[in-house]
Amino acid sequence: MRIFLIAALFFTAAGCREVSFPVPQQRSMPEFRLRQILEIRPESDGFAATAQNSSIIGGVLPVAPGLDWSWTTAHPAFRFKLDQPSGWDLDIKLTTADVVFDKIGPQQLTVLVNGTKTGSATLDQCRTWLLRFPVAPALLPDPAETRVTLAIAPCLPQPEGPPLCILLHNVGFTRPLTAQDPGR
Amino acid sequence: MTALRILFAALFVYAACRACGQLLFSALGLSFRRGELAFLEFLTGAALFSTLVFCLAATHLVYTSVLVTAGALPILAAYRFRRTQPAPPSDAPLTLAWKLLFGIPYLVFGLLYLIIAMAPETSPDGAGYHLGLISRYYDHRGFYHISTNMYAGLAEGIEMLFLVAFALGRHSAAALVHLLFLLTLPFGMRAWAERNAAPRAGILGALLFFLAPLAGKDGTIAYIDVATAAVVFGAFSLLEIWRTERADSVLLPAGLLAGFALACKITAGPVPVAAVLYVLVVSRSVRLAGRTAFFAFLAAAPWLIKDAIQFQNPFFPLFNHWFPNPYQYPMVESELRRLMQHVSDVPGWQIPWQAVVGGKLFGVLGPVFLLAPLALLALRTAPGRMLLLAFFVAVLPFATNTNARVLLPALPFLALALAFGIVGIPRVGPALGGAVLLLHAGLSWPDFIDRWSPGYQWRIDRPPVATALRVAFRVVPEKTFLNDQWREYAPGLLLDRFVPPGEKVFSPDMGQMAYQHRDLLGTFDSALGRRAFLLFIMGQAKELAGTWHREIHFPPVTASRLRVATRNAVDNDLRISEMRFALGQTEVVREPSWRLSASANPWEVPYAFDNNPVSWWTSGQTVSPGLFLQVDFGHPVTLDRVLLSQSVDQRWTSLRPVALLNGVWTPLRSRENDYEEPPRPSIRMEVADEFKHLGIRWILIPDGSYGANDLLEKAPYWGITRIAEANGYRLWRIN
Repeated sequence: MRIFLIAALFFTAAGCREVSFPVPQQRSMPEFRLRQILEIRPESDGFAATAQNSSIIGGVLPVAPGLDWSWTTAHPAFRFKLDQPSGWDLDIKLTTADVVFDKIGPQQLTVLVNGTKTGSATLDQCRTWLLRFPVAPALLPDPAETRVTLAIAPCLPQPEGPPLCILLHNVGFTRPLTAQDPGR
Repeated sequence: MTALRILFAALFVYAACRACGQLLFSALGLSFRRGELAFLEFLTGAALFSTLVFCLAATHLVYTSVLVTAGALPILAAYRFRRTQPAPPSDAPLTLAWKLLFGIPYLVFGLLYLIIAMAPETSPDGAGYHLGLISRYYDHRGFYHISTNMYAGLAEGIEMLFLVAFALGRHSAAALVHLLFLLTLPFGMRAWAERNAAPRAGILGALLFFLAPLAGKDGTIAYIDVATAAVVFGAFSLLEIWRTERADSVLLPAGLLAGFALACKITAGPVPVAAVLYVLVVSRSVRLAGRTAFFAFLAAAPWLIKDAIQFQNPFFPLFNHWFPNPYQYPMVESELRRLMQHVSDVPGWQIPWQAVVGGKLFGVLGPVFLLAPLALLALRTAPGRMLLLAFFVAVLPFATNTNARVLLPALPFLALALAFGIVGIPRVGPALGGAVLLLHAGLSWPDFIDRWSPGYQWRIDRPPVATALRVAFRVVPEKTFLNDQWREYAPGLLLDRFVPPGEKVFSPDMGQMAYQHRDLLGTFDSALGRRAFLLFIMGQAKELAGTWHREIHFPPVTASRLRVATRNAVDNDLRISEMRFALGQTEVVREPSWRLSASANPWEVPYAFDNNPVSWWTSGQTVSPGLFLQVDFGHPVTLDRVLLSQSVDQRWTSLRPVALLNGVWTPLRSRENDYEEPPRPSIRMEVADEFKHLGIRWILIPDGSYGANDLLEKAPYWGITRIAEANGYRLWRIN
C-alpha cells in the first residue's frame, strides 16, 4: 500500500508546479528584404530549380552534387525577372579560392547590369565575400528582363577547358519591403 | 540474405520471449497444457523481455551486441533448464476434420501473412512513429527526450521487442514480431476453449479472429493492436486458470500481463483495473488483489515513470488538463479526442455495420461478424458469460476512439463468444460452425473482399504471388520497392540529404519517420508543432495575420500585481502577442525584476513580453471565464492602461483587468478602445524569422497541401529558397 501511495504522490506531483518567468530579452525586428536570389545548386540528382524568376545564361560550370557553389569563367551572366525598377541592390556571395589566388594574386570584379557598370570590387584575400551594389532604377528600364554580367580578371587558365575564376554561391537582387508589397 | 536476417531477427525475439516466460514459469513451478503453454510463455516472456529492453534503453545500452546478449542469455538458460522438465500435459484430441478445418486456413493465411509482413514496411503509423521512434532510439542508444512528437510519450511495450528485431533485421523484422502475436493468439484462444471443454468453438473462434481482414492487415505491419489483443487475452486466460485452479502463483504472470497490456497500448488501460477487481471479487482477498495490482504495476510503471520524468505527465499524451506540461496543449488533445470519437463522422447507429462490412472506420471484420448477436447465446454457459464480460471490459476504449483497430483487443472475446453461441446450437451447431468458418475464410481472402465491401478498404492488398515473393525475399531491392510504392519515401530521404543533423523540419503532411533521421514537426504532434502550424497560417490568413489592438483603460491604480482575465467562454484558445502597461501617454518600461505567469500554459508566457508581434502566449486550452495572464511587478506600480496585441480572431474574447489591491484580487472598472491593424507587408518574413527563432529552418510540404501554393507563388516574400523536391513534395529552406 505504501508503494502505491508513494507512486500516487509522485505522479500527482508531476503536475503541480508554480511556474513564473522574468521578462525575456526584447526582440527587435530585422530589416526584411525581398530577395530574388539565384542560388548556385545542381538541379540534377534531386535538387530543384532554386529560383523561379532567374536563370543562368552562361559562364558557370556545372555544380557538383551536394555543393552550393560552382566555378565561374571570366564572364558569367544571369537573367532575372524583377517586379519593379526601384529600390534594388545587387547582392553577390562568392569565395576567392586559394588555388587561384596563390597563383595569380588579387582579382578585380566588375558588375554590369543590363550592360552598364554598376560597381566593382578588388578581391584581395582568400575568403568568402558578401558584396552589395545599389542599382539605379534607370538601369532597369524593363525589370522583367534584367541581365547581370560579372567580369572577373585575371583568372587561372586551364590546359583544357575554360579558365577558373571565382567560386560563386549566389547572385541576385534584394530590396526593402514597401507598403505596396502584399501583406496577404 | 536480407530475408534470412529478417526471419532470424523475428525468431530470435520469439525465442527470447519464450525463454523468459519459460524461466518464470519454471521458477514459479507452473505447468500448463501444451497449447496454452506456448502462448502464455511467449506473452509472459514478452512482458519480461520488453521490460528488460526498456531498462537497456533507459540506461543507453541499446547496442546490437547488448540486445543480442540480453536475448541469448535467457535462451541458453531456458535450453539448459528445459531438459530437466517433465513434458507438459497434452491438449485434448480433435477429429481429423476439425484439425483440417483449423490447419488449412491457418496455414494458407499464415503464409500469406508471412509474405506480406516481410515486405518493406510502408504502413502509416508503422513507418511513421512506431518504427520512426525505434530507429531513433537505436541511433541514440536508448531513450532521449523527444519533445516534438507526442507519440514518444505513448507506452511502447511492444516497440521494445521491435527494437531488438530492428537492431538485427531492420523494419520488416519488427513487422514480423507483430506477426508473431497474430500467429500465436489463435493457439491461446483454442487452448482456453479446450480448457473449457469446447475445442471446436475454440477453433472457430480462433479463426474468426485470425482470418478477419482487419486482424490480418494490422498483424502484418509494425502496428501493435493485434499484439495488445494477444496480451489482453493472455491476461484473461491466466486469470481464468487462476480462478479454476486456485494456484495463486498464477497471479504473478496474470498481473504482469494485465499491466503489460497498458504498456502495449494506452487504450488497454481498463485491463489492469478489471484484472484487480476480478481477483478481488473472486477471491474476496485484498491481499491477492493487491498482489495482482503490484505485478501489474511492475509491468506498467516504467512507462508511467518515463513519462512523468520526460513530459511531467505520467499518462502523456493524455490527461494534459490534469498534468499540464509544456509539450502538448490540452486543447489539441481535446481536438484529437473529438476526432477519434467520431472517425469519418460515422453516426453511432452505423458503427457496427461500418466495422463489419462498411470500412469507414478503417478496416473491416468480415460479414460473418454480422452474426455477432448470436454471441449472446454464449450467455447460457459460464465460459460464455466470462467471455462476454471480458469483451465488455476490452471494448470500453472503443467509446473514446471509434477506429476499428481499437476493437481488436476485444475481438478475441467476441469471436470466441460467437463461436460458443454457434457451436452450442443443439444438433446443427458444430456443422454450422464449420460452415461459418469456411465462409469466413473464403470471404476474408483478399481477392474476395472487394466483392462484399465497397470501395477502398484498409486491408491486405494481395499482389501476384511471384511479385509478392520477389518483394518479400528482396529479389526486388527494398529501396526500389519503397521508391515505387510509397510516395513519402523519397521526400523523406531528402531530409537526410539536405537538412543538417539536429535541425527541425516543419512538415504538416509527412509521415515518413522510419527511413530518415530528422525531427519532423507536424500540426498536432507537440506544442511546438501546433505553434509552428499557427505561425504558418499566420503568414497567409488575415484572421491571424491582422493585429487586434486593445487599449483597456481604467482609473489610475497602484498595484504590485495585475492580471488580464477572461470573462466569457469561447471555443478558441486565448492568445496574446504583446502585453504592455501605461500611465497616461507613457509606457511603463518592462523591468527584469517582473515575474510573468499565467493560469494556464505558463511556460510560454515570455512570448507575450518579448516585443515580437508574431510570437504569442496561448492558454493552450479553450477560453473559459477566469483564464488570466499575470505580471508581478515586484513593487507597487501606478498605471491606468493595459495595451494588448492579439490576432484578429481573438476579438471575441472579453477581457478585463484585475489588480491585487490590499491582498485581494479586485476587478477594475474598465473600457476598451480596440482597432484592427491590417497584415504588414513583411508578415511572411516575420513568420519565417520566428520559425528560425524557434529552431525551424526547413519546411517540407506536398503540392496541394494548405499553404503549399503560397510558398511557391510568394517565395520571395517568405524569404525562403526551394532546395529540393521529390514526388510532389518540396523542401524549402528559410533564408
